Amino acid sequence: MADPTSTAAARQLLDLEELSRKVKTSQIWKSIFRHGYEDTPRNRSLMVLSNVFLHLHPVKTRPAGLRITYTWGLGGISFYLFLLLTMTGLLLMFYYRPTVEHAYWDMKDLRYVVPFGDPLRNMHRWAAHLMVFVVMFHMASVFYRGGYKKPREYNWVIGVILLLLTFLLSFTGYLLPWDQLAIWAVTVGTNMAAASPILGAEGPLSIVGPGNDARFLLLGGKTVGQSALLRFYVMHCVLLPLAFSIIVVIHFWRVRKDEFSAVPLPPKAEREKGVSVEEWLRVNPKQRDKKVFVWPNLVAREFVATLLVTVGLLAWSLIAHAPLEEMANPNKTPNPSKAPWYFAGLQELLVYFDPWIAGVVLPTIILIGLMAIPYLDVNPKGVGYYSVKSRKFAVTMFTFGFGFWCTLIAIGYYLRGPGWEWYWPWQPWDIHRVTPQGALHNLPNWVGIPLLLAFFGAFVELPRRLWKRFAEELGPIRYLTTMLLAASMFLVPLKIILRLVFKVKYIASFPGINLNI
Amino acid sequence: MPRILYRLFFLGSVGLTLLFFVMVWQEGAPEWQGYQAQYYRLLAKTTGKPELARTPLEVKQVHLPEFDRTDRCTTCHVGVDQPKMVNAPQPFRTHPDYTVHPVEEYGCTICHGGQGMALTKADAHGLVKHWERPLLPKELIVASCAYCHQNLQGLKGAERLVQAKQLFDKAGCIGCHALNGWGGPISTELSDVAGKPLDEFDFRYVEGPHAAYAWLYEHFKNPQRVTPGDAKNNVPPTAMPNYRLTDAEAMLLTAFVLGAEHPQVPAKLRVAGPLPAPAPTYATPVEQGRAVFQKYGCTACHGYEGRGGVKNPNAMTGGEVPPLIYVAQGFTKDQLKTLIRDGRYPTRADPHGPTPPLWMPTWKDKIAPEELDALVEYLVSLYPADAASAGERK
Repeated sequence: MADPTSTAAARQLLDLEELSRKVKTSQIWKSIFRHGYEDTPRNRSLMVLSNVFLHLHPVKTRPAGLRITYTWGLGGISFYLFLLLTMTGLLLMFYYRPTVEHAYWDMKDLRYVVPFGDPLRNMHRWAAHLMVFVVMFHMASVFYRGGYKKPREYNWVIGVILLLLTFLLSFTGYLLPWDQLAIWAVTVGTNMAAASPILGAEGPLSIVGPGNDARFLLLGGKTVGQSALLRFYVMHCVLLPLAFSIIVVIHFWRVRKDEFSAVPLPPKAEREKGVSVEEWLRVNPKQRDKKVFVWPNLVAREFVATLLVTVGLLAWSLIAHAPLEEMANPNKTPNPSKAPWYFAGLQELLVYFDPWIAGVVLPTIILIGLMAIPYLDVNPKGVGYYSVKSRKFAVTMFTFGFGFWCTLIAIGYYLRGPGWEWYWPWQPWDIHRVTPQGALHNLPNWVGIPLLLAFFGAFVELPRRLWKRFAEELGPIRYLTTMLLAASMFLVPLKIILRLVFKVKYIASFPGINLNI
Repeated sequence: MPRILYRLFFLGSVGLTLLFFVMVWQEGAPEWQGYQAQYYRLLAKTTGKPELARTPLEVKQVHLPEFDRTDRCTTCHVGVDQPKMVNAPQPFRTHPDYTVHPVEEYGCTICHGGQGMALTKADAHGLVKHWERPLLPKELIVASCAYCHQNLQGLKGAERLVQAKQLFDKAGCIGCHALNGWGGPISTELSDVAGKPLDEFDFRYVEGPHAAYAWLYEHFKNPQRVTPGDAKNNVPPTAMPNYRLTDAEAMLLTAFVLGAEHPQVPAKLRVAGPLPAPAPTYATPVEQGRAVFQKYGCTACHGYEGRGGVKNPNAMTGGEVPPLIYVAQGFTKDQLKTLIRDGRYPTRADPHGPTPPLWMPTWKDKIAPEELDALVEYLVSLYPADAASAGERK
């Protein structure tokens, strides 16, 4: 039997409730944490309002945006991957020296002797690939749910800039291990810069030499060497992350200010009657204002998403080593030399186009075209929910472009072998194989130039006659821009067909100024 | 909030915790620690000092900036410089040569090959993807002596490399291949072969490991099997005849070619070559001619003593390089000299068939006039006394 006095004493000594109350009412505690944690609407609001990081969220949000099938968490996951890459990258910087003498051996040290160096580098590498992938699909999902439409046009433009920065971050990081994969992928990529019109030494209308052109600016030399490594290192670790951080904050701020685009959908019975989302919302305006607290509804989902991504990445990093090939050897070009996978589609286009088109003009048109989408697509329908019916034209164009981009990547990355020959995945590579192409010929300019003009002309003239109302809704400038961009997009597969079926090398050719189409 | 969120949170947390432990476990028990602990236990037993068994484990490395490498091999091969471990099992045995070539001065990989920075057996021994220089098999380590020792004559331990050089001279490899810039133009420069990047070797027909030595060895044994060409893409098979070498001979020549590479070693480690031998004197012009025949590697194509028998597919002369023992009958001495000076391409037996891979190079810029005179005397002397009539083989 216990002595009642001693238990009472013990209780007094270990009165946790009393202790906790004392701590939580102390000046120190109250100066740091400004509200309690009881589940009250007030605290739910304060969780977000009084926290600098969570403050990028609104206090309340529409439940439609919480559904996993709406965002797939892609935007949040992109940003989480950026944070993860910053953290792992920071740690990697402690072990890495950007010099040709040390860079490769530092990779080997990370692999074999640095404590946790191997999972660290694996995670950085795989997270980088995943981020490029996720960012691309984040863009696609925002497109399909009309998230870029008024008033969010400019945030889409910022998103396209972030996409470009993601590519550049990944591309500059690609060089740093200083192995064969690195220098040749970067050689392929930067040779495209040398093909820029006007500012590239090998491009059309060039006004510069190999010693002062765009490639020289990137590499600090004519080939990939020490100065290129240093430049890429500084860009990868300082310049680009800084730019990304600043721009991503604007991206978030705008999402916060413009609200999430997700709208509630009419009940099934209404939809079966053929009531459109917009009509239903007009009749039931209150539906749009139904909101739930972000804490915990959205924050918990974000947390679980990052947790699952971390688990997946860590598991993969413990299984699969980040690629590291032989040490960089500028005298030994691997066959094939491939660009990083996300540029393999453009590299594939080198088969059909001169480098200045495949490497400079097309990417520029793609970026400008993407940025122009919100200003060209004035269709007010389909904002905040996935729909095809009410925006057939936009969805068709985007799907074609995005699908084509992914197809080209798949071909360039998986189906090309030595000599850029076509190999199915189950076929072994044969370095001797050369498939005869047959003689290619150029269309004479007096045929080719009118043909090109006719092609663009048809894209401008035909839809206007066939779908009068569509053209009128757009207005002349939007209509012309849309059709010229669409024509440029369809010119690519058309040229591929001309090349493969009719053996046409150039549609129009001006060898004197290096300008061939 | 939906229940699935709680479940995912639970599963994710459990998964992350498990993975964390897996990672720590992977990190905390590396392969090399097992070997090192085993070594110290063995050392304690061998020396009778039980306290040695408790030596703290650590990664050991030899950093050699002048060789541009860091070797961590001694992390597992701890006993290389411990004389008490002469009879210990590998990886703990004493290195037979540790006093002459101390590991802290030379490291390991400069002679043995392998990936010195790696700390797992498979990666360190280097037969892994993207590592160009795996560990050399025991019979081939001798090749590395030649990196520093330019004079192998009488060098203890390098006897097999001397034998290899003798075989190389006797077979007349120099007739087609150059070595350090001296030799025939028909095939590759041999000092460039062993250091080539691995993906310049075609390993599709090699049965052994994915390493330069395996390609070389199998190519010596049967050149046509390893480089059969590719008829479909118009790539001819190798021109190198199959000399039906024994396994031992092929291994010697492999060692010789590996040793012909010139990796970067500090000049202070180079051991000077032999003094130039005095010019030999010959009793007769025929004697001198035989030496000339040997010197320029005529043997490789025309056979020992000019007896022929070396294949040259689709050559007019019976698909073989012509033997020389009957030249006295078909040519005057002046005609022979002209032919050697100018060289000759063999005529195709089947005019639509492939080009015969071997041809007679132009010798006029290489061979001295006196040498040519002696060579022709020697060739004429080859005519067998009991020959029946021209063109018939005995």
